[in-house]
Amino acid sequence: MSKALTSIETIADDICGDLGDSTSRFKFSILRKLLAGWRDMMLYMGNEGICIKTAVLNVDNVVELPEDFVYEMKVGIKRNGHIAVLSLNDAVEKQLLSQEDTEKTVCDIWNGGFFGSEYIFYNYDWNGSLGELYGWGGVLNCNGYYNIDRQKGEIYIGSLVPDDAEIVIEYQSSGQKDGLTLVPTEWWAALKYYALSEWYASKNLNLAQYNRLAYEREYNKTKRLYNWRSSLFIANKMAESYRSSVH
Amino acid sequence: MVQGVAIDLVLLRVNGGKLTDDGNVQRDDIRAYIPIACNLVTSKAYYVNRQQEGDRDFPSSFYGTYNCAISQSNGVATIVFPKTVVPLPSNQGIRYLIDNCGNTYTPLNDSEVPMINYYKTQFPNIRFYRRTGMVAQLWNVSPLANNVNAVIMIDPENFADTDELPIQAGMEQEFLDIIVQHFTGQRQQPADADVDSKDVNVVP
Repeated sequence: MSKALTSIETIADDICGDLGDSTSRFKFSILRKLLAGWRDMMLYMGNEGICIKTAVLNVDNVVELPEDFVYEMKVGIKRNGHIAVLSLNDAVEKQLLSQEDTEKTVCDIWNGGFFGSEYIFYNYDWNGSLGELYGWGGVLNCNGYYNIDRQKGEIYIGSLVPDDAEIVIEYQSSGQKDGLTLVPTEWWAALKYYALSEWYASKNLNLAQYNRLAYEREYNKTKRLYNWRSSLFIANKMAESYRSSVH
Repeated sequence: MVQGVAIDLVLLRVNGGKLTDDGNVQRDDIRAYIPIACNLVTSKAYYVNRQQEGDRDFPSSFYGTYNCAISQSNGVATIVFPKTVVPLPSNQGIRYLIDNCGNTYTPLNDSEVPMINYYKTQFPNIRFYRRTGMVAQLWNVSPLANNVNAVIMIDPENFADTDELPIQAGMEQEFLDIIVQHFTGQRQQPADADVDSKDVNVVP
């Protein structure tokens, strides 16, 4: 499974765009079908599931990442009740500001003087209840603020981060899936055809069948991708088998 | 086409090419009929576009953006549209809603509303709305959002004579013909004052 995740909403918007649905009036119907397709693929693809969590960590020179951390989705720095979003996962378009503009914008965000795109940190565990945190930015240059060592599970905090700030990190957890609607990007085509097949089922049988066949083709392609082994791996296995039989 | 120009063109036609003050068809009469003709050609253009190109869009130039405050009274998030939205088929009068946090809202139809309590937890990051009359109810509203920009097409009844009518290019002639046809055959001039058995102003 690739690390890049895509929101089911993005796939729904993609389908609505293809259908010429500028007012998104088919979107909810498409979303429901995508969710059904996602469950179908989760059941039969043998995927371990995806869980996204958000943690708030106190600033120190070196900050320990949560034990269930796999990789980060979004990183932000919280101060005065405002979160400046420094990095986003690859599925979100971003355009970086210069270092100088970043420092100014981060201060604006912390002082409540910045109004731009809002980013959500999902599944923040606050006193046992799951909620969301909201941050601004997404165009900020993270150089000088932090560096993550995934091997050691640590974040190194740069000198630009004040002591009274907190690090907010949304990350993929190794825990159980929680129903959050993010899917691996390689599922995009299969899910799209599944939703279109279901959507056309009561409207146009030919298109429903066409999309069903396309779904099965994409499903098999994705499954092959997951099950793929290089010829060297297979040759190695054969050699191992031969050696064990000789000895 | 500006509404005032459309009225003048119709007046010219029904009066035989001459603008007159004492005609029986007045500007207000034509103004009252404009929304009917306007909605007819707008809907027709939609189906023509859809048949020819598979395009479901109305031209975006016909939509205006209006800022609406989010009300949280009774625990239900709602907005009130500032003007009447044109009741086009499939709720096309509302192009989209976007709040001050940059979130767009997905429309629900009546059959989908009962499911929303389940699906709003399945899609915690997706916003929904349902329009009823002048009000739209919102679900999954961000706690930071306090107003919504509604991109809507206004009902032509609200238009002034200087406003551009939402008529797709190429449909203007049909629009004028519909109005002219409605007023043709109506008496154009008052009865003549001669006391005889003939009325020279009557339409043959």
